[in-house]
Amino acid sequence: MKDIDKLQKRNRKLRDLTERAGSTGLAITGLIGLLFLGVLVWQIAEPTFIKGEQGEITPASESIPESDYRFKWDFPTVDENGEPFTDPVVLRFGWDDENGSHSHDVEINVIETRQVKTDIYIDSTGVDQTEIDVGRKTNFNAYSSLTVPVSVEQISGPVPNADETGYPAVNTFVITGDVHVLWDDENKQVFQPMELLGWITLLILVVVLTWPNVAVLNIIQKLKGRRTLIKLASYVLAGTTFAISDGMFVAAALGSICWLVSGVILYKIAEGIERLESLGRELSETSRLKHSISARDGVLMWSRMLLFTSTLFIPLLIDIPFLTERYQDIFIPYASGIRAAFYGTIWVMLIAMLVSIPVSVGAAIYLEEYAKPNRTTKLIQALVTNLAGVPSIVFGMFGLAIFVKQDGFGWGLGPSVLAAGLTMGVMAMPIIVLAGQEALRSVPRTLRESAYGIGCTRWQVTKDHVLPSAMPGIMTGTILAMSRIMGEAAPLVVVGATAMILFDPEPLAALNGGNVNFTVIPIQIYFWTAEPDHAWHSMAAAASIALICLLVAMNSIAIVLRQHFRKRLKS
Amino acid sequence: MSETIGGEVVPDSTRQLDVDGEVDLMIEDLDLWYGDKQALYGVSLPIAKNSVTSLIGPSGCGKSTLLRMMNRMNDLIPICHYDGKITMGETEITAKDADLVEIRKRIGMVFQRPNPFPKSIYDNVGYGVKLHTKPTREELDAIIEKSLRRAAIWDEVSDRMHDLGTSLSGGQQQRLCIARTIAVEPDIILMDEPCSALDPIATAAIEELILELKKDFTVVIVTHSMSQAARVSDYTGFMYIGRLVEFGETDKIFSDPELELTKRYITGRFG
Amino acid sequence: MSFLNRISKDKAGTILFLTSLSVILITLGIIQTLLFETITFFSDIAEHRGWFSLEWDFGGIFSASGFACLLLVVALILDYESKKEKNRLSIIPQEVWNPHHGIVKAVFILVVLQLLFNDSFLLGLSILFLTMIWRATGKLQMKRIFGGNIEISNTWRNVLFLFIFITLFDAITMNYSGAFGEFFLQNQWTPTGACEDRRSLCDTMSFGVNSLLLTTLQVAFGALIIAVPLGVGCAIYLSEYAHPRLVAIVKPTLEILAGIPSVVYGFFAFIYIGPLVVQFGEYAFANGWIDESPNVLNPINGAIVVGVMILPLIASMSEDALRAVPNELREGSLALGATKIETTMKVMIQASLSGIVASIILALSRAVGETMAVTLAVGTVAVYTSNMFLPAQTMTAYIAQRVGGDLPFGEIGYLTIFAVGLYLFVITLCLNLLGNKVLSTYREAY
Repeated sequence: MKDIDKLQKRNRKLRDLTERAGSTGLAITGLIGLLFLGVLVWQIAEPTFIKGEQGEITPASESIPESDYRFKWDFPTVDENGEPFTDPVVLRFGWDDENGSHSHDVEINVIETRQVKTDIYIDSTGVDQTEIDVGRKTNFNAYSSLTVPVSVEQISGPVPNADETGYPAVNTFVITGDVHVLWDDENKQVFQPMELLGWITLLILVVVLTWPNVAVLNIIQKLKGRRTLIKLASYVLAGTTFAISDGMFVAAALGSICWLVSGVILYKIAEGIERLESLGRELSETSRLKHSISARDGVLMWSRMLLFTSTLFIPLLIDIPFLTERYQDIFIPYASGIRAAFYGTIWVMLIAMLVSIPVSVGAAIYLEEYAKPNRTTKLIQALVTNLAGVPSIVFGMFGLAIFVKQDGFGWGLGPSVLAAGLTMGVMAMPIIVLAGQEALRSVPRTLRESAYGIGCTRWQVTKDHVLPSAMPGIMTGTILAMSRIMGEAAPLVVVGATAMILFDPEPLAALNGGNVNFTVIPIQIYFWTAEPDHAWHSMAAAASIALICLLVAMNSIAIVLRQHFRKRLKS
Repeated sequence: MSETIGGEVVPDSTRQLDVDGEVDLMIEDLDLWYGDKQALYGVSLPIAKNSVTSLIGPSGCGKSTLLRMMNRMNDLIPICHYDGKITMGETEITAKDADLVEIRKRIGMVFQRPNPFPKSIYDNVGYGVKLHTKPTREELDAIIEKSLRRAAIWDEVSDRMHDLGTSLSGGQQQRLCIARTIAVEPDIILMDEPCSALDPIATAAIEELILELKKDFTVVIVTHSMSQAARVSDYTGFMYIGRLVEFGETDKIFSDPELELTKRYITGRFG
Repeated sequence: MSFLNRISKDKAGTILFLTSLSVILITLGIIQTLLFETITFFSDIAEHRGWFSLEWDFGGIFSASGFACLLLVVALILDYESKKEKNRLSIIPQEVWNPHHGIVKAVFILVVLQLLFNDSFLLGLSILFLTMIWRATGKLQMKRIFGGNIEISNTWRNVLFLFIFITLFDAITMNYSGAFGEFFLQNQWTPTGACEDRRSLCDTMSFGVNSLLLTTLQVAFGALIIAVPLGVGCAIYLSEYAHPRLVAIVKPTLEILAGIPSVVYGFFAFIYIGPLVVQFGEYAFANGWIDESPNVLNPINGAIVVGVMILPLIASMSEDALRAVPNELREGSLALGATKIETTMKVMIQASLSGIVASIILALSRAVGETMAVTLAVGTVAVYTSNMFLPAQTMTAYIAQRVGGDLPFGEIGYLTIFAVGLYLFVITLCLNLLGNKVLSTYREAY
């Protein structure tokens, strides 16, 4: 009998139970991250490409529980002969409340030119529009804030179009919920389900091709004798894509590039398989295959990168005018675009890069290679580490006082692209310095020692040996820092970015006395979100998706770069 | 039956092996793979009760893998799978539904690098005991003192029980780990190169301790030092490329090995 | 690269040193701007209302703060006694210093709970301090009896002195005014008033930054309540349990989550979380749990969205800390017959604690400094209420909202944002310094 067996035992069943409960609980918390991302993406994406719930169709006589309603009509603009309608539509709104019966007529003229979007508001004081003109987009809304049912009767004019459920919209109202469908001028949906499906398929294809596994390799193996065929097929598909693209040049070009690059990757993998087979290796050793293809071929790395980014950009290009052609339309949300914000972002990023990269890479090199471990170095190091954690809005205030204002210590650049770029550059600096230091630290000491061993000076060692090895790390860090500041809105709110810009921002306006106003995508999202009308929220969602796509593209470039160079350094 | 690998003649290791006295742990025909790479080929080995069995062999021959198999530590490596049978009395260790907690309580392990927990010395030794039982404070104190005495470290730490275990020197840390293991009173103690990270004086102390522990426990030790195997063990197994090439009493293996391969390894001509 | 070759060794060093000096310049610039404008702000107010004034109220010694002060003094005496080699504490039975660990846990849970429900924050805090001193003293006493290295540090003593001063001050003074008294100790934040001259101050203006600060803390700690269990749980799951293939999916997902701009999170809060919170608030209102009906913009909304934002930060930093723990510790515990959850809870978390704590502190700093999401989620009403369903305003949101209009240089509104900004900067700087210090101790450990 051992001593330990004499003691009171712990309950084994209880221990097993805690084990099971603990692991399950942890698994649930672990997957909540994914859940949040799912909800986030869905909530942002939903208003842009899902045609909101149709809602129930309720007869006007039934009691209305909620206090806020939206009525929606869709009138045809031309009759069956193709002639435009000339008589106005007259709608009569009627309701009964404690003050008696009310009725209001509203006359609606359908006109050919694009027109200010007008809504009808019904509240206890009456109807706020008696006569309105609606433009080509004859689809308009009426809102009610009454607690009693409102009946709607059409007195004259053409019969409204039936909606999808087959009900005509007169004398009934449709609770449309939040219907946000993003339309462009031709009433074409921005993200069409089929296109989205196609894009997702393409993305899956990209992922499968970029990270080969045994199952895929076995399929590719069957093609190995016909490598030229793969090449030809990719040419043909690329040509076809371009030919049937119908004028959408950029999208077509990107699509063709996708096909070509897929061809190149397939070709290379097939080549790698043949090489492996001639060496008598098993296909299951995928790591060897990757090594045999990618370590020696920069082509594959660049193709992957190109393929990945092109694929990510395709959904944006389905509605390219939103990104690069349209300005914000003051009155019609759905006709707006983010052209000004897009170019503003590019200019701000360029200036920030020009300012921050040379200085911060220099500082990183100094701190890692040159600085003696004395008090100054420690101070600088502590400042860098803590600057990276300073709230972004504080950088914005720094920019406001130094770059924007003229009084005091200010440079007086005004709320311009230049001031914003400088502010963002200052903000990116500590992040790049830290990333650069990390990269320089990971260069093995033996490399430096061997270089010193053959009589290099310190600068020669740094320039010829350390920097080239650390470059991928520095580049990755820089791209990540840039993608972080690209999404920042707080400093620019302080610097003074404005939302309503109807022209391209000029980068040097602050110096040559032009119009300094500018905007960037995050700012545009911020102001659109703060708008009361739900329609602007759809635009904010679309801009969010555009921004996230840009960021993911930048990050994936950084990731691919990092993986490629890490592999190269190892081999 | 034998096969030739890399110019060396390696006998098939599925042979019936015998030890004197009671067998504590029996390994029968064990194959083990990491992914699709086979690491053990049909190893059979009996471990005698209250003796020290040492496993020697060149690096990468699978001796640590075999040791870690004995209390199923290999289960922590996701790509590892195996075939074969290890039994300890009535218990089948390799069974799918085996109770790993009970197995590891009965078969303790000491690792290559000393790994005291970041807790006080007292808590380090008490940790295992408190996992399995609910001792009163007096009982726990008694067990801890007894374990530390048996691990020959009591005199050095009795006045600093509430200091961090990591504040001790390397050799002391390793003895603390041994004390931690014997506190739960296992039947078998597995030691995976316990002295490889220690200086000669600490090594001598641990070797002395192993000889002392033999009275109460069965010890299996993996070592890369042949002189250590010769000094401490009763039985020695020589492994080569995943096979148990030769097994027998230590004196016999070191003075008159059966196989040319073993002789060449022991005399230091390869490995 | 030919021009680079022409730079001699010394010149290269000098140029590089100059580049790194720019970092010092920027920091000085930030501090200088903030300080300069803040000093102007305070002196502007001081011209009208004086620098600082208060009224004594010695009867307040019998209030909650007075009691808190008494508790802290007791704690201080305990601390002094326990540091002496031969102390009078041995009169008290050993069980008081070293009770069963279950009792210790229960006491700590009770103390944390009372902190949440205590009306007087200072009293709650002082009870927490007393408990912690009790444990520290207990550990010292144990070491005196059973032996061990006794390290004496005076950190606690300094903290106690500081808090005794604060509680005493709070107990015996009232009605603070003047520039500093108003800014740091009053609760009313109305920086705009109907004055004839825009630049000058008038009586309707009031600058008690606490109403902004308290909302900021509400949001930040609310975010921690959401993000810490989820984030640390996620980290433990990823490093201890998850299949490598799952890690390969979840880790990049967390990185994507961390890379999404805060304004997008703000949009998310505005259109999705806000309405959900309102639904819950309506329910609470209908049941009489809260006094006023909820608003779509509120601190809970902000806390949730900031929690989601800092979750990936906590998860990935804690996971790094857990991964840095040598595998031998994990194996050592399992080899003793511990189950996986026992190993995780009793060994792994203890070994990586400083890394996890550092991640939480840095996440708190991020939550305090977060701007766009809270601006869109919390609202623009600069009134602190304990009812978290009503709109409020955080410090960052105030800055972002205030600069939205036209702000002439030197106007009082322009100066307020710098005063608030400096306060924010100091808070986050302290948190970052603390976090980085904890982080470096854990880097030294492994």
